[in-house]
Amino acid sequence: MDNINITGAKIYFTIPVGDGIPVTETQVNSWIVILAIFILCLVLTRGIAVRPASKRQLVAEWIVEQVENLVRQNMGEEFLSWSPFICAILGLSAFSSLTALLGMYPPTADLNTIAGWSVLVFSLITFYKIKTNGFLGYLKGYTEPIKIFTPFNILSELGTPISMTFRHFGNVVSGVVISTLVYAGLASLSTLLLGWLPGLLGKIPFLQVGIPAVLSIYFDLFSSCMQAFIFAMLTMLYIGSAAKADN
Amino acid sequence: MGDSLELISLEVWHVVASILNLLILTLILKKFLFKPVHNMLDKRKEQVDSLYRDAEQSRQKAEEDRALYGEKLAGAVEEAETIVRSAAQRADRQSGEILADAKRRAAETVKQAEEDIEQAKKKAMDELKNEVAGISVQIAENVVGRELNGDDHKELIDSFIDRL
Repeated sequence: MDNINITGAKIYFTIPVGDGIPVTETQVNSWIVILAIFILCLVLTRGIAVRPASKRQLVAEWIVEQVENLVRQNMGEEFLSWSPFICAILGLSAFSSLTALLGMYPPTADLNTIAGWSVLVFSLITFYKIKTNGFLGYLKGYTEPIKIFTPFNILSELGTPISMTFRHFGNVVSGVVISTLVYAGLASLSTLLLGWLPGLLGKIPFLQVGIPAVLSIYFDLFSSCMQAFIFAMLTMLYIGSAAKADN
Repeated sequence: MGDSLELISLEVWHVVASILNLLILTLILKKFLFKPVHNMLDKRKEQVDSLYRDAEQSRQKAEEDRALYGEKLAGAVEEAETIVRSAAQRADRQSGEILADAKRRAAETVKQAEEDIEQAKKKAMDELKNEVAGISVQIAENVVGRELNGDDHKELIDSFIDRL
């Protein structure tokens, strides 16, 4: 079991700028995901007509409708133009995590990916707080209800993106770690139990068949969609409440 | 196998790349999913609106037509009643006229007949008178045995008969 090696994304090559920018699996797989979603959009909206001629169009309509309903319920009617952004978070997060099903490295298992999203969401939250309350009002918000709370308020404000990041990252990466461990563990167990079989037969890790699939269904399918939904929900709630006066 | 990043590592450029990726995907979704679907939904809404408008117009027109036909029908019924009433009146009048005419004619006929009867009676009386006068002259001739002067005596006898 000493060949278990859990690392981050593989570095394909390094762009020699400054200290060097490593291009990793995360970047490549992210772009594959974006490209896949782009193609999916083109396919779904191809030949779109007032009278739906295809089931593809119904799927496209369904997606738009569902995302807009979600935005309307959680953020309000005036935020309807945010639907593509929320849809992008949902799609990118879910599809990125789902790449694990194809044996690819999920970009969501890279802290940088989620950190980027959280930084963006945090910027938006701050932007809306300042827009709603004015800059002074925004600063004053930190001293409420009494001045002594200021450090805690700052901590909790910074805690928002950090908790969002680690919630998502932790869930995906724990799936990767557990899957790897179980896979390796099953290989050892297989050797231990069935190693007496003659020749090549003893080297086939039979126990690896089936059991990891169950884990994969939870970590890759269920958890992927769940985390995407949670991240999108939190984004909507934080931005929505930031934009409401008197937060 | 190349190098890998640490399991937990932060790289500023990767964070920036992630932000850009999310923004790019947002733009892609906006342009290639939301916009076409919204364009189509707008068009559909327009069509549905116009369908409803047409239906409403048709309904109103039908309503108006119905009111119009109702009015016309009421007018027609009234007219029919008037026609029937006037026809009945005319028939009454005509029958009255015809009846009166018939009565008048019948009366005339009766009168004529009475006159005729009177005349015939008178004529018969005259004839009878002449006959009686003739017979009386003959009887007198026979009684007297001689011929009386007819004309002379006829007057005499007439006055005699008149006195009878």
